[in-house]
Amino acid sequence: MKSMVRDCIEYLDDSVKLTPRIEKMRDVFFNTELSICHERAVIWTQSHKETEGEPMVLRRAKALDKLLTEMTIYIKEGDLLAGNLASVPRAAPIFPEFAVNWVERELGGDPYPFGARPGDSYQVTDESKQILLDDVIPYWRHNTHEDRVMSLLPEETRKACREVKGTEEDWVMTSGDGHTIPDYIKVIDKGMNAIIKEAEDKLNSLDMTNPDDLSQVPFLQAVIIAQNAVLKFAARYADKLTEMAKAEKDAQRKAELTEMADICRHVPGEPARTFHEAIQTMFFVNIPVQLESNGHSISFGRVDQYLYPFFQKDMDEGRLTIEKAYEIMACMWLKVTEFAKLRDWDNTVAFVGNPLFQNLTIGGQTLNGMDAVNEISYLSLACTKKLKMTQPTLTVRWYRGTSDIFMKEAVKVVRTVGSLPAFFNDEVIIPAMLNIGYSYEDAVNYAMVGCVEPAPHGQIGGRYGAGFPNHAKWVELALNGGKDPRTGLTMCPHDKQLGTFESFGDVMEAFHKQLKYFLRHHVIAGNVVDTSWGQITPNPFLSSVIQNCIQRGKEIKDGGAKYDFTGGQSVGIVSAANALCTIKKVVFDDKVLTQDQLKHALDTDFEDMDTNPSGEEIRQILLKSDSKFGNDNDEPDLMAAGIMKYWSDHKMQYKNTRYGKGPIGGKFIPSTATVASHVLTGQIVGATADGRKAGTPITEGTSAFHDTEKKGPTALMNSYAKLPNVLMPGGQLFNVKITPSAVDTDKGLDNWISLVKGAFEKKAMQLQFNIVSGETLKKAKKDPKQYTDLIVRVAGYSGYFVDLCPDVQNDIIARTEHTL
Amino acid sequence: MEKGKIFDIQRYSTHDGPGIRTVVFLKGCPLRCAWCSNPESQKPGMTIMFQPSRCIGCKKCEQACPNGIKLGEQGVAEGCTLCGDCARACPSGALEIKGEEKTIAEIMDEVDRDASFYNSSGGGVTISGGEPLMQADFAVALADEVKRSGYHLAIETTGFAPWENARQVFEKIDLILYDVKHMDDAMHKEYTGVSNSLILENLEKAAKEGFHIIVRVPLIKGFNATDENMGALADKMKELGLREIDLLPYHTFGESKYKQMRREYTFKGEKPPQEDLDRFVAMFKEKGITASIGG
Repeated sequence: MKSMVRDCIEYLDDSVKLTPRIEKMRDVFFNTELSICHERAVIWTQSHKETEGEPMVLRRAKALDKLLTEMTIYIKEGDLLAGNLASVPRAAPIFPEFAVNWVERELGGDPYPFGARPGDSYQVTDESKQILLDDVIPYWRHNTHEDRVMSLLPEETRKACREVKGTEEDWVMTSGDGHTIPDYIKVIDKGMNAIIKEAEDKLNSLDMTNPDDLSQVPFLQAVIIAQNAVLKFAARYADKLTEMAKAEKDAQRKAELTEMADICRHVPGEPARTFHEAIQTMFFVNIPVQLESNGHSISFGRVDQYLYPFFQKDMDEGRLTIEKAYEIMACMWLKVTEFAKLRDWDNTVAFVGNPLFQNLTIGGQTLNGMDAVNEISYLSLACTKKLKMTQPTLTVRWYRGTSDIFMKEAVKVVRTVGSLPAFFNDEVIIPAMLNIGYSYEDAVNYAMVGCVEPAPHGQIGGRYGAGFPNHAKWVELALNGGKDPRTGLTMCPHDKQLGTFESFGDVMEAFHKQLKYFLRHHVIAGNVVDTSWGQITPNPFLSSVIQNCIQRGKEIKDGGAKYDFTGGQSVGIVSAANALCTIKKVVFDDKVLTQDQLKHALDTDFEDMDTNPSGEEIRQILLKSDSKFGNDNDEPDLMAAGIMKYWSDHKMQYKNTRYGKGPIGGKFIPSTATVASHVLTGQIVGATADGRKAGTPITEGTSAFHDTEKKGPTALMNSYAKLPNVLMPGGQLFNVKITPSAVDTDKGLDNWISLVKGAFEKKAMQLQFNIVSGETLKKAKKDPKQYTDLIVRVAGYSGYFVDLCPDVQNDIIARTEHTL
Repeated sequence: MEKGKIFDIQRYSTHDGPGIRTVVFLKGCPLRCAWCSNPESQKPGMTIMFQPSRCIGCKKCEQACPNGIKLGEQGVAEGCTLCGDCARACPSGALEIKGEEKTIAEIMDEVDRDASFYNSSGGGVTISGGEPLMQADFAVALADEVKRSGYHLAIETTGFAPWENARQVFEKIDLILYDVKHMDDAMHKEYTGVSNSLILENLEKAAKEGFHIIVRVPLIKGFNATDENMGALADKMKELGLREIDLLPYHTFGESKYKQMRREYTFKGEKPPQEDLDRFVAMFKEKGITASIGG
């Protein structure tokens, strides 16, 4: 190992603290509340009033220009990087062109005032509130993305999505897309002046008598305006920094500010020359993309690969020290964390924790199949470990050549932070990408977008995030002849229902019928949303940093990007599999219950105690049945695998709005990146045949249901490995809980790494861990039925926490807090 | 086909030998250690466990019982034939049978499932108990099958069995985890119900055969965690040329199981203080023996 790599690994040592600068900035962050900033909304609205009648793509470029010229800019004390999203740190801008109804409603306190939400509350001043209500919202009413979606959405699809909610599509109807990795590498290597020239050359080459060429003109003009706007934005920071340097008394800070001013005068117009310039360039790409698109998951790609040449050169030429590199990176981590995004209340429940999903990927393999881990990979781990913040979302890629040294440092970071980084398996993800048309180079260079969505660098324009198709809901509908017990609506009727099914095959047939029905509406809703985004909120700046858009003269939603797929995050697949498998076993195979008994129990949420067996007895029979995914039991595992394959096969047949317009793909792809939507989507699902009570959460991702995994982590991994993960190119989400005491020794860490490697060898796709806190253990003690799968290391062995005596539990609680 | 009495198969076990392991627990034990953390392992026959926290009070168990035994008394009341009908009727899993008969093939079906994890971790299979040597023929047959599959194989044993039984099992094993509870015979008798002489004789024979042995001691303050006992054990190990020992500090994990068996856990043990543990480790080190805390 190179000594410089070893030097970087030392930054992960527990004895190394944050530098005073970073420590101070971190403290400021934790003392800053989330708030709402009206500035973008006001400037954007003014601009749109000035440009009525012009093509939308041009109007948005001009709005971005006005915003970047007029918005408040600031440099935080001690910061080494310029760039801010709103007028103060942790403030969320408002994007009125997407939707205003919910903003108006929630400003009025329905269901909660922004500042008094039970989760993710945002402070808003009376002044901001008044400005939004008077100067912003009235202009946009009936003219937003949401309005366009509603006018395009077929009535049947609206009912399917918004009433029965067999697929939940709301968040994309009121927000922007995001879900991309802009081409930072291009801007770093070539500079924006070169991109502007590329667009100008393209514009000059057009034959205006050709209607196709003519149609490209507004887009290319918009690209030039948007790129120039960012150059002005950078120049404003350069001026500000020069001014601040002049006034600065402290000599060291004065020098830093002067250097930062020079950097902002050079990039992003010209190619970056240093490590510091390269990282600064990334924010002159990332921030405008955020301000334009209103999306989340604007990710960073394989930073350890594309930043490394700058690091190495600066180190070789004596311009940089490891400590300085670490500080610049820590400033980057802090800046990413201070960005905020405001969502409506329902979607805040689905995305609770103010996540921006700005994923940053390290590790994996090079194009030649060599281990890609380098100094920057370790420094990235160090930043996440020492800062202990939720952003950036850190991804560690694993392949057969990844060293145990790297894995050990990575799992130690998880142990310290609690859940970051997550681990991704090259051996599954690369084939999954090749399978849907990615080139070998682009697939090998994949990075994560958002939570778990594998994407190429700078070659897709978003759309990995989409609605939440609710598989558990379809089981409920299938058992009721297509009728939704909650709303009384029958969208997709069939003759047989629980009570009249002749075989289990009939049940599966009914389920498949519902699945295909709601899949169609998921696709229709997805394409409606894309159509509206293309018409109401095109993104000229983002398109200018996505490969092929300028050369094709097309915005992303018109088919500009190299690749284009539409995702959709299946929720409750495992709930559906558990319910179906339990019905098969309990009703059809073992005949413990009749169809009518089960139907009555489900209809009454297991609360009718006058039947024999009683409602609760039936629930216990269902819970106890050996028919749940996650125990290395083939029947339920293959049921989940079968649903996933059926879903993938059918979904991949549908086309998105860019099919045939240039990009490779143009199709819908499956994923299980459900975020926290399983809580929200569970609310509309009645009691299920796996023993789950009505309205409670369903399963997230492909994780096992919370009290059903009984055979330990290897059995769980085997269940996961049986799923057709390679057919889920939109990404899989798999959560595993571990208590800190299980991994507090070297042996524990080694076994943990072996568990990950063993699972990845047999084609698990993604793994993320929760190192459970003492607080959780206390809750588990109080409410054991909710925590039956919690594994703890007791002494020389492991056991289920809730099975232990209170004294032992207390002992472990005390020890856990000691460990953390 | 030959069957063995199994009370549990535990996967992802990380403290009974190296790496990630599957532990096959054989039922029946000749010792009655006062602190036993697996009381359900002791009797060779079936044991019925009852967990009141899981009971929903439906009394399906009473209806199923041919001998009219009441809720909560299954498996312990007079007249119970341990037929298991009550547990099979229990909808919630509050009643559980421990001690199913399983064939080698059934056990291997479970064992094979984690093969890739044995590979990635340097783990394997551990045969434990109870006292696995009580089912020596079965243990030999199981060991043969595990070794034919190419897995690392360990055994956890008290060593309390006729030497011939022990030897034929040990010959198949890669690593023997050999419990020595106390060097003093009177103390051993008092706390485990049997003399330690057979155990120590077998240890000596096993050492002479050259088997890979790690000695294990459950360290209990007020019983065996004394300088005198540890010193005697270290001397014995040195004499036999044994170089490794695991010191397993006392815990009360098994206590809830006593309740499930409707027995009282009367043992009052204590975990030795850290300074004692450190001193013992140093004592063994002086004799050239590597001691580690925990498995």
